[in-house]
Amino acid sequence: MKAKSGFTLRHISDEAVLVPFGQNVLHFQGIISLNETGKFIWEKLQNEIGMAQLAREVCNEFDVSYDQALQSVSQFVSELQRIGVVNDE
Amino acid sequence: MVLSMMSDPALSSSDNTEILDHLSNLATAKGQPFSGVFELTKRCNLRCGMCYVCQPTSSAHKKELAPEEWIAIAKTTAERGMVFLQLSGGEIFSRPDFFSIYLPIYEMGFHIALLTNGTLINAHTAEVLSSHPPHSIDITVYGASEATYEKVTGSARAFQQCLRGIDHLLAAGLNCLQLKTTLTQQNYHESRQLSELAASRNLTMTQSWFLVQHRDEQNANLQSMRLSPEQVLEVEKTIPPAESKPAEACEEAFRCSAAKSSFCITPEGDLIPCSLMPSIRVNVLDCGFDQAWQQLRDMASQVQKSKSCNPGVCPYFEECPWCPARAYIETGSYTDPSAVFCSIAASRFFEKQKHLHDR
Repeated sequence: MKAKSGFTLRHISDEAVLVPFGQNVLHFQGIISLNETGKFIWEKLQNEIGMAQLAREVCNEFDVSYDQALQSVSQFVSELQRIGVVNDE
Repeated sequence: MVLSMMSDPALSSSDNTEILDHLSNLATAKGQPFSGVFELTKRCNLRCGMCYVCQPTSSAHKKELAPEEWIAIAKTTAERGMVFLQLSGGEIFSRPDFFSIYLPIYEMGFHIALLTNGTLINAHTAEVLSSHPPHSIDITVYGASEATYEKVTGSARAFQQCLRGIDHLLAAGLNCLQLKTTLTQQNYHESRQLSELAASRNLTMTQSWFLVQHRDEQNANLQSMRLSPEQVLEVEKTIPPAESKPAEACEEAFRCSAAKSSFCITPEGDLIPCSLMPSIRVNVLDCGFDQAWQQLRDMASQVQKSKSCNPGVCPYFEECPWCPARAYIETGSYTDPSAVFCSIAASRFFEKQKHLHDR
């Protein structure tokens, strides 16, 4: 899976925001506010990556177990897929 | 855990508004531009008697910023993290070079809102916009008949032109349209039809009744065009106001984000706190955006806080449309109350009390 093109990452103070543009706007006119972990995952999704590998990357970066990371990453990615930000696997 | 989504402010739920407020507050604390308005032109094809920034399309426009100047300013604001950008006028599509500005700025990835009267939108315009869709297109509709358009805008045929513009955009698949209206004594009688016009196209409609003096010339007829407080209250039952957020307490003169994390730039390049407040300005061409932004923030921070228009002092504060910019327009002072606002705030307050009592 990989992040779709057509999203700009902006920083408001220390927080990250994704703004869709191009044809993405026809499906999603909002913006997405990401916390630190979300931004980390978004950056990893700029390249093709599998769910298990993504969970391992989160596990290595943050103080969480692999199982916790996998559960959270799955939820997060499925939400991104639902609104069309990430290509389906 | 990691994601919170936020809709466009005009469409958002209360939860989303909280996120927007949170981000706006972060930007304000850092002095970072978060939301900007570019008034691309003063020129407009309509002649609305109540408009505060319009000139004939044939008028000289040498002072208007050129496309490359707008693009350079946009690039700087993007680099500073700005998210929301509204392109406004005058009438944006009266600039023949509109897309020379829009398309390069579009690629910078802002959350873009367009504000237009819709009358110059043809199939080609709609096609280009659908291939580069903005996040919202706000179309101001001035009446629900040719006769009313003639009275308000000076052009009867503009009514059909506006409807055609709306329908071109809808046919092009743009699902981000919102209708607005500015209500005056000339079109107030059609407020219900305006609401129905929006509903017939499955669009939302909001209204504004506050009329602002023209920036360049005194409009002696403005006061007679304005709705009475009773009419404002009546029309709010049919069409919601464009700004419906209750007024909040604030330690500073400006309760909103004007000159803290939001701004407006006039067609000549003057950076001002908001479109209603040209009295405080720094020209971007003179010193660049960053320095102008810093100077503007400093100047706006010198504005004194009102002693009378505050919670704890005024019981109707939460219902009041007062702000320093509007106060200055009405009274010539940033701090004085205005009889019009006091009347509307009190009427809204008692109307709410009546509803609560009836329940």
